[in-house]
Amino acid sequence: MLTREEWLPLARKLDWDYSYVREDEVFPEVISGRPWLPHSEWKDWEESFKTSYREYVDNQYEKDMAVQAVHDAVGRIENVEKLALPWLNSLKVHAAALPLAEFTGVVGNLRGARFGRDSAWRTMATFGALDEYRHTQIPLLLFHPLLRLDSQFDWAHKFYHTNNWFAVAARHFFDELTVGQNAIEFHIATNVVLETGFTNLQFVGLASLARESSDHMFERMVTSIQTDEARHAQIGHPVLATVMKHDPKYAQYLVDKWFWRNWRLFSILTGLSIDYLTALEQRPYSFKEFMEEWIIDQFLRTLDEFGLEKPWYWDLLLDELDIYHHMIYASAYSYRATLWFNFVIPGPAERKWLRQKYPKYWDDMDAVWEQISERWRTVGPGPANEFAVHGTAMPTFCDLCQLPLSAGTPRKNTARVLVHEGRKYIFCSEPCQWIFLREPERYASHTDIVKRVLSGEAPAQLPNLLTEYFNLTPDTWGKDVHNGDYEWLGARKDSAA
Amino acid sequence: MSQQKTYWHLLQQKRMPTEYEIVTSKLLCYTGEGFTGKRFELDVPLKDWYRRYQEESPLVCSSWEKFRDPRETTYTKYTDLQRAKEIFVDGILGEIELTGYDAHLRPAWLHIFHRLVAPFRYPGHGFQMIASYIGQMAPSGRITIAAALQSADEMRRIQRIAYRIRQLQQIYPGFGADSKTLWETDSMWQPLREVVERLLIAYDWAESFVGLNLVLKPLVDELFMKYLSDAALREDDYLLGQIFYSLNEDCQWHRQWSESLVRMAIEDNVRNRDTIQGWINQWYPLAARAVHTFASLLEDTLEQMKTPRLKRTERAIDRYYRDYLRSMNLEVGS
Ligand SMILES: [Fe+2]
Ligand SMILES: [Fe+2]
Ligand SMILES: [Zn+2]
Repeated sequence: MLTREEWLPLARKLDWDYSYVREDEVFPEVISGRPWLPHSEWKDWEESFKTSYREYVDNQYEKDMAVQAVHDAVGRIENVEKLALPWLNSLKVHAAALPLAEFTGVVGNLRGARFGRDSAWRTMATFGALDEYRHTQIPLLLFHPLLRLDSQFDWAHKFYHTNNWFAVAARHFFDELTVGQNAIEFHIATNVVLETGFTNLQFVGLASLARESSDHMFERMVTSIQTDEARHAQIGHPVLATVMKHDPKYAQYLVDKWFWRNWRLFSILTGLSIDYLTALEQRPYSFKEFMEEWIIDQFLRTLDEFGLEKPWYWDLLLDELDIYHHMIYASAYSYRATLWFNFVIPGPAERKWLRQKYPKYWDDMDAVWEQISERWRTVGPGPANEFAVHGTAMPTFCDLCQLPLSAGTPRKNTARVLVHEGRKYIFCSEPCQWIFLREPERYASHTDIVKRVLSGEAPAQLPNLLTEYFNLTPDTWGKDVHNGDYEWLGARKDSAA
Repeated sequence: MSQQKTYWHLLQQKRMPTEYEIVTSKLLCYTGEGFTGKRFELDVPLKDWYRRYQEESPLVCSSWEKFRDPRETTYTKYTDLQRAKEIFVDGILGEIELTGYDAHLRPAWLHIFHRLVAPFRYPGHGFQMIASYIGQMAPSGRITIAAALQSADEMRRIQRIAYRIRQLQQIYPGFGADSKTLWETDSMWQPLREVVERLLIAYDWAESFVGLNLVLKPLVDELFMKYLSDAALREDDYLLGQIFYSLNEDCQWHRQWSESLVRMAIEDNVRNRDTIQGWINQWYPLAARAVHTFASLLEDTLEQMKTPRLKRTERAIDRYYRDYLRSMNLEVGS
């Protein structure tokens, strides 16, 4: 048989000069992206990993069989029941965040497969679309049997269909990143920033957490997905290189903006998993160590390759490594009933570890956990007291990232208020405000949960908000995994319900 | 134990969902199938594009989620099916290399191959682009998936033709090198190029679907994958005929899922029939002109060789096409 190198060149470059329609009608700027350049500027587009259809279907079939074999061997309820409770809840976070977001990637890649500016780019994006279908399918199938164990796994499908505040934030992110985005911004933001910058490494990190937690099914799943990501993440690199050549300021803007938006989301998904929802003895590193080693250094190298600068907010970001996800976790614990998974309080051993890993601000965080612990001591453990140790006032959300205002520290709030065209906006941080002001036409009309409550669109009472608007039930809303019953807490057992 | 047997949206079926249902139902979050009551969460760059070409499409349906791919193609099933087909084609290609098959092809047939088969990579890529467009604009995840897999099938067809060209180049240097020029200038290709280019900018998602899957592809695929492949058999290039037979299996599935979508849409809303028929009437003359140009040229050329039986290609394709549309209660436009 001929080698791929011998024949594939005859299938890669298939653009032609249009005669019956204009090139800018076939590739309108609004959906192809900017800068708008004639095909002559894109004709040398080249992917670094070459694959043929023949190889693709073969490899992918083998990979699916391998995942299925692991699922058959260790994916039964009995295996999952043996996992530590915090890890099981970490699994629910990823189960919800993953599959339908991957499906938005099918749409984004199909955008590239039609509006990408060179045929080789379009063909690679067709594979990308198929990959993302795979990444939708695998978790939906693997988590399906776990519904019998725990109905919180229902959120593997339900999450993005709800108005849950975290779903609002996640949709706000993915609608802009993928489904509603033009081909150039999609490929730079998704392939270069999200996949090269975050998911590739996040999946490596999650796989090692899963391995430490003896969750071989999840480990296998993310490892297998990651091999596809590593391949199709390459699509964005030659796209960015061309934009860099013609409009370096815009290239820098896209990268700065999307790195920040990704940081917000991934610090929550991964930060919580590593520093709180993995058993202490199974944590291979702290989230900050993971970020420094795998994300920060690698990303700076990527920027360097393209001749891009460090984002202007870099020092601020490095400072956040010490605190942001801790603030989010504490705030999410306080409002756990608004989420679809359960939480654990860091005990004395965990707090000692956290203090060691995060010396800069841990004192402030420790005080928050001391308060929460004290509250449990006062009311006593038990499911009946969950709401006695729970926030009641509505938190405020950032008008860009749609996450609770949790930047800064418990003592120093960094929220910023802005009046734009007569309306008041609030942002968790300077970069969120900066992104808003660069393209207010995208963000200004959005209303967060608080405004929806004020306008009557969402119910004001917490129980109604949870059931009618966040689509939770008493079974599925988040709780403390031990209902406050921790040995170290020394709570009055007799008052347990 | 929670005793919940399946995901929230499949509970009302009151039976265990199939694997296909688990992995393909309600995958899009902005089409009103969930609880949000909104489309996009923010004013995305393509908000107006989606409004104009998806929401305001004249093809309407109470729920596009009702569409099902008759083959129920999960990702795993797709790679399994296609891998088997590709192994089959590898066998043929390997045989060609082992037996010195290409040295025995007749010059007149090689001429046809070079003029008619090699340039097909270009319209094939146009088909891939349009299928990708249908997929990204489709109002349900299952339609998106069917169109995405169709787009990949088109890539398969292009790559198999490319492989075959490379084999021929080893004996006939430069074989197929002028494919792009032929596609751009040979009068035989121009009517097809015109309809592909115009269809690329037909941006209503459903018009794009009708134009490609109900008009252009059934006609063009039938000509190339069936009649040209029959001609290859008769002209002693029987192995090309077998390769096309395998590629044609993909095209058959494209027709089947399209037929399911059309039936579902008309069943849901009877006015959809007129909408679809209107687009067929609009696109058929252009597509028919393209196919008829080839059919008559193909006959003339082959008549000088040894195939007198192709006289009826044009009529046969028309007949087949009429039957295909009639099965959906549609007709060939006047
Ligand atoms: Fe993915
Ligand atoms: Fe991806
Ligand atoms: Zn923010």
